[in-house]
Amino acid sequence: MDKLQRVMCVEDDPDIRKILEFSLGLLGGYTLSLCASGLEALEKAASFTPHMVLLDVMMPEMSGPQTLRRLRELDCMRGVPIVFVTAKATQEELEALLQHGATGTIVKPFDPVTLPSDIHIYWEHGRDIHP
Amino acid sequence: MTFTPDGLNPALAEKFQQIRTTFIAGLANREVEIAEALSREHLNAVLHRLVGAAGAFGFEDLSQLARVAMESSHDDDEVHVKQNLVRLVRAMTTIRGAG
Repeated sequence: MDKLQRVMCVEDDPDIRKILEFSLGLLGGYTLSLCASGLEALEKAASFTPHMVLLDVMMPEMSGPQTLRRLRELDCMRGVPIVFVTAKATQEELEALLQHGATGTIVKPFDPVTLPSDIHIYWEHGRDIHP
Repeated sequence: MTFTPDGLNPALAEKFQQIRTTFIAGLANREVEIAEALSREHLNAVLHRLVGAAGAFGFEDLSQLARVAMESSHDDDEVHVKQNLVRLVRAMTTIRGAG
């Protein structure tokens, strides 16, 4: 895997899914799997085999950290960077999210123009964190 | 009230405006969600989503108001919570009216 192509986005807000589609799909040129819930992500992960996952933190039914834990149990997710995308903003909150085993955090609101390059940095440098 | 991120060609700028218009139209539903939130936790979740969405669509002031309301949503001071919500909903109404 030498090129970031398939990105799974797990986000319960439909407007944010649309801006992710615009940013990462149209601007970034990535192939996307847009999931409205953690359960949907778990269902699609094995067939989509993402190179990277962007994961909302606050979601109903299954939270971001719960989803991350379940995704990490899948063979297809070995070495795949999982980045939390969150409106939580304090350093303590962001550090706490990393303790759940995320590769990194991106703070909402994000800039749709720079997001494609932002996630590429995590992909380039975060692939070996969870082999 | 238009906003286009820097560096987009005309076709992409038009696409951005389309989804931004959808976001603006959906603010009415978000106002209802805020008004009808069943608990502080529910309210916090609604506001959390708005923080992220508003900022990504270029409504930075709205995003900031939503953040303030979100961060105060667990306050014991009911009046303070409502003051922040009123300010937020007024801003949402203004954007809908201008959109």
